[in-house]
Formats: sequence, C-alpha cells, structure tokens
Amino acid sequence: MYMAKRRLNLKYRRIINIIVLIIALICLTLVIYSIINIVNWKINVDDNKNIQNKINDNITIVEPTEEKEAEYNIDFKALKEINEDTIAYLKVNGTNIDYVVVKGNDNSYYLKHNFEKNLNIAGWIFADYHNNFDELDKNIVIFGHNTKDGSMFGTLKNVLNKEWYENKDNYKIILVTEMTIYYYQVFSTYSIKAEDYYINTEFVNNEEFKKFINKLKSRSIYNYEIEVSGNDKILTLSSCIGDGSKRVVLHAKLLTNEDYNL
Amino acid sequence: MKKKIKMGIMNMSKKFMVVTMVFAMLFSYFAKIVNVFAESSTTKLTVTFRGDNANYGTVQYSLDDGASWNDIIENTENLNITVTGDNLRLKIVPNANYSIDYAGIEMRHDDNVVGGLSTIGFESSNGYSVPSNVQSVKLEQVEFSYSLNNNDPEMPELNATAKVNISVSGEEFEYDNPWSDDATDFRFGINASDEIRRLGKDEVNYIRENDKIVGLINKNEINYQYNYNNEGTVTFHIQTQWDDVITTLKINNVVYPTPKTKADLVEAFHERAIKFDVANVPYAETYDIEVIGGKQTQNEKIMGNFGWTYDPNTNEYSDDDKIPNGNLEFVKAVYNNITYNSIEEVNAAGEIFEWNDGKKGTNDPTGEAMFPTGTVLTLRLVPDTGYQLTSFDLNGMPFEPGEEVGLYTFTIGGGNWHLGASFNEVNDEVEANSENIKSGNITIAKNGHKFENGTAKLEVNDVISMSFDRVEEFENTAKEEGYELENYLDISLYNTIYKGGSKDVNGKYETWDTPIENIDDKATITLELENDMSGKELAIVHEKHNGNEITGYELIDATYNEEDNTITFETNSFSNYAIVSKDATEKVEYTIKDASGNEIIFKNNDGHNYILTLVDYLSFSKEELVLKYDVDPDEYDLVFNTIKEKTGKYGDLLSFYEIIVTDEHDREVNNGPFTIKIKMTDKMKKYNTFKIMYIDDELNIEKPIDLKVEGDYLVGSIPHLSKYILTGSITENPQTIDNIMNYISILGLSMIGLIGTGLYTKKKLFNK
Repeated sequence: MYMAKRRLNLKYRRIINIIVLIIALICLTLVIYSIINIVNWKINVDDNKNIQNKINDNITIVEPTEEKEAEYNIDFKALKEINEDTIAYLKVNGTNIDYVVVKGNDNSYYLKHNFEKNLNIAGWIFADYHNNFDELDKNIVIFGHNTKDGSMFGTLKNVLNKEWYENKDNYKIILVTEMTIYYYQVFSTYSIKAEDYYINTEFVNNEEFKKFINKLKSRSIYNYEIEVSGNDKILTLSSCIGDGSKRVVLHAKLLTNEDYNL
Repeated sequence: MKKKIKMGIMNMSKKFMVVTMVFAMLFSYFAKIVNVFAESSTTKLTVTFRGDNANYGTVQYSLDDGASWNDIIENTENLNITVTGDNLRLKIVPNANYSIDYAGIEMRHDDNVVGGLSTIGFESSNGYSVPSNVQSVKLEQVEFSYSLNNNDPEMPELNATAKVNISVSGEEFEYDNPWSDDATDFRFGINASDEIRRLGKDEVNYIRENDKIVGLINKNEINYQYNYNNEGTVTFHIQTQWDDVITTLKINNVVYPTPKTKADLVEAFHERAIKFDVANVPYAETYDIEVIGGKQTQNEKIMGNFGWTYDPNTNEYSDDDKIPNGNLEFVKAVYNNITYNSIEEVNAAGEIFEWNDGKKGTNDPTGEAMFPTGTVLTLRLVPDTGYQLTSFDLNGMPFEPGEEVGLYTFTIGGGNWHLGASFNEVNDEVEANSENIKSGNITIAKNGHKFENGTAKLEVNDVISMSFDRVEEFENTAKEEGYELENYLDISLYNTIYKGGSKDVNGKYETWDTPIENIDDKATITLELENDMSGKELAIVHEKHNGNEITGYELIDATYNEEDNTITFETNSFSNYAIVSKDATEKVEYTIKDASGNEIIFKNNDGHNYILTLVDYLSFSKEELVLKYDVDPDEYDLVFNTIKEKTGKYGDLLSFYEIIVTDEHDREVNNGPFTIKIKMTDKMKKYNTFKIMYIDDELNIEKPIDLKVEGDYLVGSIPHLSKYILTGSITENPQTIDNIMNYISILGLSMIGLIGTGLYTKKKLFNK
C-alpha cells in the first residue's frame, strides 16, 4: 500500500515537473521573442531617424521675421526620386510632427513600410489613398503611428493637453505641396473610439459637409473659436491612442488669404 | 544520498539545458525569419548595344552572387528577373582584342543615372552588385573599342613613323595645347585611316587599307607598315564642326585650299560635319599643320536645325522646344526649286536634309530637323483636344499661317533655333452674337468632340429669315406641350484652332474654324438670356437636320435658372432652335419603382406617367449579353477590364447600370437631379462604402458620387439618367498603434515566469 502510494506520488511529481518545464520553455521563448522584437523596433526607429536626416537635406526652412512668414523650400523632385509616393510636407507646432507625407495605393502599405519602402514597424506618415492633392479634397486625412519614442505621430496626443491648447502658436499647421503652401488652423481636437466617420474624404454637397463639420466641432475637448463653413476645406490628422481601440484626432480649417492673419 | 542528489541535479540540468538550447535556437531562427523578411522582388533589366557592338562583347547577369552567369548577347528590353535582396550582379565582357568604351555607356536605376561606370566593377570577376530595391535597371549603348597589343598576329610590322604637329587658331579654335581634351573642333585623318583623329583623344586609331591594318595613329605619331602611298604623297582628311570654316590651312608651310564659300561648305557637309580631303601632300617625317578658322557668321551659316520633344519633363530640351500638348508634322520642303513632299523624300535627298519624327507617348518622344539655309519649310502644328497654340514665335523668324488648318510656312535660317510654341489648356467657348443671348458656355464630354485637335466653339446667332412653313412647325411643336415661342436661334458648332497665337484688333485669337454638325455624346449648353424669364418654364424646340434637309422638329427639356437667368439644355446636333416658354407650375415629386424594388425620385410638372428601366449589365453572363443586348463578344472582355481598371481605385466593381425613365410617349426624362435608391443585394452587404459614377460611351468616368446606406437601400443624388458604375469598398480607420509596450509587457511577464519556474526547480532539488 505504501509502495503504491509512493509510486502515485512519484507519478504526480513527474507530471508537475513536466508542466513546469513546459512553462519554463514557453517563458524562455517569449523572452527571446520579445527581445528580438524590441531590438527590431529600435533598429526600425533608428532607421527612420536616419532617413529623416537624409530627407532634411532636401528641406530648407527660412525662419520667420517680423515682416515675413517662414519660407519652406522643399525639393520635391529629389524626394520623389527616393519615393515617388511623396505628396506633401507637414508640420504641426507643439509636436515633433515635421515630416514628408506619402500617399500609397491603400491605407495599409505605409503602416509597415518607411519612406524608403523598406519594412519598418514604425511605418511612415501617409495620406488617405482616396485623397486628391491636386484639387485638395474637402477633407485631407493623414495617418501615422503613435510610436513610443515620439517619432511619426507619437506626439499627436499632445493636442489633448491643456498646455498645448493654451499656446495659440500651436493652432497653425503647415502643409506644403508641390503647388503651394497651405496654412491650416485647428478647430477641433479629441479622442474617440475607432470609427470611419471622420475619415470621410468626399461629400455630396456643401450642406452635407457643413453637417459633418458641426459634428466634428461638437466633439472637440477645447473651444478654438474659429468658424468653419460648408465651403471650407479641412485637414484631419489621426493616430491610435491607448490600447489601439481609440484614436486621437485633430481637425484644422484651410485658411484663405482673407482670413489668414496668424 | 548526496551523490544521488548531485546526479539528480546534473541530469535535470543537462536535460533542461539541452531542451532549452534546442528550443531557443529553433525559435531564434524562426524569429529571424519572421522579423527579418527577405523580400524577393521583380527587377526589369534592359540592355542595349550601340550599333553592332553585340558582336564585340557580351553583358552578363548573375542572381547567385556571381556563382553562375547568364549571357545577354542582343538588345533586351524589360527582362523580368526575380531578385532577392542585392544579389543581382552585372558584368560586361569584351571579346578578345576589344575593351569596354565607357564614354557612351549609360546606366540607370529606376530612371536615375548612375555615374562612374568605369570604376564600379563591370570588369571584375564578381561584377557590379545592383543595390536592392532597384526595380528597373537599364544598361544602354554598350560599346567596345578595338585594340591590338604588340604580340597580336594582326598587328602590322611598323617601319616608318611620322610626327604631326598641329597649331590651331581663330575664333573658338584657339587652344594652348593642341592635344588637350577640350580640343574637339578640329580633327584629321590620313590616307585610308578608318577614323578621323580628334585632337587630344588619347587612344590608338587604326589605319586600314582593304580591311587590313597598315598603320596606327597614336596621339601625334603616325606609324606605318610601309611608307605612305605609291605616289610619295599622303592625303589628309580634315573635319570640323558643321558651322565652322577654315580660312587658312598650311601643311609644312604650303597653303592648301579649303571650302570657304557657302556652296563649297554645303558640298563638304557630311554626317553633320564639314569634311574635306587635302591630297598630294608630300611625304615627310614631320607634318607641321597650321589651321586658322572660326565659326561661320550668321549670314554664312549653311544649315539650320531645330528639335522638339513631347516629353514635358526632360532636362535635355529647353521649354521652348517642348510641345507636350501639340503635334508637329512635316508637310513640305522646297530647296533650290526642288520640292520634297514627304519625310522619306527629304531623308533620301542627301546628307544636308534630315527629319526625324518624335513619337508622342513612346520612349522616343523627341524629333529633329535639319535643312540648308534658305529652304522653305511647311509644317503642320496643331494642339491636342482641349488645347490651343497661344503663342508661337519661331525665334523671331517670320512665318505665314496657311489656308489649311495648322499649316505654317517659313524660310529656314542658319544655326540652332527653337520653335517657341506654347500650347495651353483652353475651355470650349460660346460666341454669343444674338441680341437675345448675353453669353454662354458649352460642355462636351471628354472624347465626345469627335475631333482630334483644338477646342469647340459654339456660335449663337439670330435666325435672319425663315419660311412660314418652318415657323408653323416650330409653333405647333411648342403648342403641343403648352409652350409659346420666344425667339429663334441659329446654333452652330465649330472645331476651332488658333492661328499661331496671333490676335486680331479686338484682342481675339485668329482661328481656323471647321463646322461640326453632329457629335456622339450630347453637349450641355447654357445660355444667359437677355430678357428676364422669371416665373416662366422654358424649353427648346429643335429643327432636326441631316446635313441636307430638315428631318423633323422635337421639344427638348431645358432647365431655367432664375438666379442667373440662364437656360440649360443638352443636344448633339447644331442647326436652328427656338426658345419656348410657358407659365411655371409647381413641380410635384414622382417616385418611380421597378420590379426589383429600385426607385427613382424626381420632380416634374407635366403630369405624365413614368416607367423606370434599370438594367444591371453585370447581372448577365457574357452569352446573355450577346444574345439579349447585342453586345459584341470580342469587345466584352476589353470593356469589362477597362471599367475595372478605371474604377479600381474606388473599390470593387459591383454593377454597371443603365438607368432610363420614360413617359407614356416613350420619351426619355432627363430633367434632374434624381434621387436614386438601389435595393441592396447580398453581395453588396459586405461593403460599407459605395460610390456611383457616370460612364460615357468612350468608357470615361466622371467624379464619383457617394451613396449612403439607408436600411436595405443605397441612396444618393445623380444629375442625369444614363449609364453608371457602382463600386463598393470597405473603409477602415487604420490601426496605427505602436506594439513596443506589448513586447515589453510580454518580456516582463515571461521573465517573471522564467524566474518562478527556476525558483520552483531549485526548491525541488534542495528538498530532495
């Protein structure tokens, strides 16, 4: 009886030992897996920084003076020789967003590929593939990864901070295309559960667009005190926030010559 | 006991370590494969040889880092090669006695020129490694030059040497060192030498007689197998640029004649250069050649040339030579009273004439022409559809527009000159000459013009006179629907082309106008009325004409806009019209359904009964379409694929509708806008974004219109009824989260797990 009980205990112990061994192997695998991915993330992020430095050779910004606005000289021809999807340059004050924007054939390619079209988990800043930049759609939508090191749209979430809102210089957004420089003024910033409504790029008429604008304005966590009509055009910046189920969103109105006085 | 414990620990540890290492290696390998994607891709390789140089060497490529090589022995375009990473390598391998002549070879990666070709390894054993991510490699104008070494059996025994000293002076002829690399204006050859020796060119040229090498020219030494020719003299071959003239040529202090008059220079013009021989020069061991010359003056210039290109982006031509939105054709050239009526006749007439046509939309978009000065040249220069020649100056040379559309005649001047032709986009226009019409505009569907050049001009004039019978016909047609006549208009359509950018005293461009009676697709015409028609409803009565006679009268629906007092209607035929009116009555809303549940909603006020016919051509098979709708089976695939290609960016192709609403008289209704409600099929329900777009008979699509999902219907507003394409897509807000925190969390948790299992194991072992 004692021997049988002893054999039974041994058997249970063996099973437990095997389970512990399996758990240990799984944990070891996960350790190796996560280290590889972390290292890969770092390599990808550094890669993008190097690319950004190379891109900056083709961008010259003349600082503003009392008499003149800043001048943006972007060598689009040279940039297109690197990547023919180059479509614009974007700068958002109060963030690190100071990037060349590309536009692919869908909204997934540049989630995983950088400006040199290499696989990169940080991707690149890209415009919605539906958007037309020649005639500038009613709603230009630009996406980017919320990277932890602050690159790409990693600092877009700053727009939800009171400090960002209180600095009126941050309301100006610059979008430079081959045609011209566009100045936008922020009119709405918020976070929201992921949805497709605000990334709509085409509207039946200006009345429909006005309803759209009103909804976007009503979502804003801050009041930017600027009128936006159905005749206006807007810019939308979007990135994930939190666990990826929500989005941080910024909307800005395109300023015309009459109302640009920043 | 201790020994048992120790054995136990060692056994457990050994097993643990072995299994862990194997597992870790497998996983690392797997992770490396997953994380470091080795993408394979397709690269297009193009190789061209200059002339017959494929006979003198080979280009090779390798896909395994040089382990094996594939030969390219002839011109090859866009060879698809599957490349992994940067393992594509190229080599250029000359035949025996040949070497690579890099001067003219060009390589491009994705249209970017690659420099320094002689240093990047084409001749090394491993070849040149093409960087990864290059999608297209072009290696063009590969050329080899012949060279012998002293041991080669072909090398002749050289037993005589003569030195040549050249001094060159004159405008653009002056050089400190006649052998400098920049001295290209003057060249010489001797006796039967194959090549004309260029000053400063640092390589050996061979002198051949009857295909046998009999001598070499190497810099300033001429080496012969045997002395000169039988008469004890040598013949020098002299070459300068085509616009040069040598005023004095002395060889060993003896003056020799050179072509100086225009006629002599034209005769000496060969292969775009001035070439002539200086014969009977006595043999000497040293030839002191003194050359004095310079450029032909403008009056002396014997040739004129110009180039053009249809490529707006090239850097090789100035903007003055670019005509991307026009077309240039040779018509006629007259020189010395001889007329040349075709390019073939021109090119066959001798070396002083040349015409090379550029081909728009191809890899060869550039053209070039060269004629002796004084040639009277006639060209046809016309704009593409939708464009006009808004300026044309030919470098200031006078020209005459001809009677025929697009013809210009001018006399060729000397030197290089530019077209200076500017084609700009111009809208179709309306010339309102009627007292009842202030202005107007016309919109013709893209490719609906039926003409290939220029734009459309609609002329609206008052009808000067009309017979009583015709007036009665107009009135009767109007009265059938309760309208009364307002005024008569003569509406004519022309294909208009501007004449060389010149304007008349009123500032309007002078034009060639060709009348057009009919077009395929209907044009939309809007006319601003002189008289206020508020409170009225307007329509148009059209007098149909087949070019020879009147064929009937029809009432055409029109839209009157009170805000700007305009009337808009559609037509594809141009003759006499009448504007008719009646008091406006309130429009009521009609909702018309078909058997499938689709609906059309619109407003009208004529009280008719309407029927909706909505056909989805994609719901039929090819055979059904051929039988039922008389579709050409050969065109079916082409049409279907073209539509898919044009609408692909908007989503998946769902339907190809033809939407028609007719009244009880079988007349089509087209007074929009219309609200369309399409009953959703099961196939449509997997999409969340829908667009509908008008498609014309030429398969051109207009800007898409969004449709909303309302219950079981797709709902939207369309401006008119015709053929439409429906597409569906799934719009998703992309996931842009950074997963680094997930990996860090996994690392933390798995480290905890690992430590936990380690502690458990340790405890178990010590408890034993």
